[in-house]
Amino acid sequence: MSIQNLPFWWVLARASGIAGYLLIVASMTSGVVLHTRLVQRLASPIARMEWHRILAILGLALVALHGVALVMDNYMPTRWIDLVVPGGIAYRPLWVAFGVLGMWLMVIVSVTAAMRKHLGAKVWKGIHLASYGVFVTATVHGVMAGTDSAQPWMIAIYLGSIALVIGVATRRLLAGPNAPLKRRRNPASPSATAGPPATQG
Amino acid sequence: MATTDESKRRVRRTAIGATLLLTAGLGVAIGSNPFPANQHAPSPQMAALTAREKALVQRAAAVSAQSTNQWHTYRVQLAARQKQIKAAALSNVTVGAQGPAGVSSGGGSSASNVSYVAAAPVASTRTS
Repeated sequence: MSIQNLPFWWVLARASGIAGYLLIVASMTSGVVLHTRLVQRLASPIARMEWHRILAILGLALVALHGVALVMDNYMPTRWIDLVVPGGIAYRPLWVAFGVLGMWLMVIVSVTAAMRKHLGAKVWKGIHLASYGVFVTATVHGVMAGTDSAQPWMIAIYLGSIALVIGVATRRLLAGPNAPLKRRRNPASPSATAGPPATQG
Repeated sequence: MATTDESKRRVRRTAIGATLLLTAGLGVAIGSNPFPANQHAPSPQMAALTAREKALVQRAAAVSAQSTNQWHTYRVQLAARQKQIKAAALSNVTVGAQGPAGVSSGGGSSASNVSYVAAAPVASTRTS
């Protein structure tokens, strides 16, 4: 198929959907491992937080692009209202509804993250746990409604993402969120053991 | 503070660049095979095209039926009209054959019935 005949919006819808899913996984994983020892060694707290934040924003932007591209595409009739109200679309309404639900959860998590100071840590954390719901709904939506779900590379992406999220979530549950960073004892520098512990969950 | 901002900017630039690369790479990979064959999960485009094909076949059948019906009506009307024309032509032939006989005084040549009047009018009017 030549580039002139390529269905641009259709390709963009699928590419942005998969890229958005990967960014959701990356953002979620970066949030879960934010205070683990391995990541604390790799980047500063500000850089870690910024990675988590920007990945979430880019993920949301790509999800929005996924919806816009689906509306612009001529072959599969999608209305603007189908992007925000679940169940209205003709193509696999239940599985597409999972995507719409995941998008709303993502918006709620992102907005409350921006309002964290006003909400308080307890409320924010309770709402922020809905990120796991975003991952579950996005995975169900992708597997059941995605065009590329049966492709070997897409199966690898899904399995890898599920394994990664389950792995980091399990590790966090077992280790606890506020495990302090253990530094290697260096006799040459006595201050090496006095590093600040990670405090946020 | 400057280091913090610089660090944030670097993270943002890297993340945006990586996202653009990822999306473009996926676009190229998907664009090379836009409609993958998958019997278990047919693509939405194939489903839409099948629905469109079904609708077009139904429409074609309806148009064909309407066309056949109109042809039938036309042929019936044409046959009736041709019958009328034929009847009218036959009637004209009959009238044409009877017409000169009615005018003539019957028998003999028609030239003998024609008379030329050379005399003056019997009465004259104001305008004559």
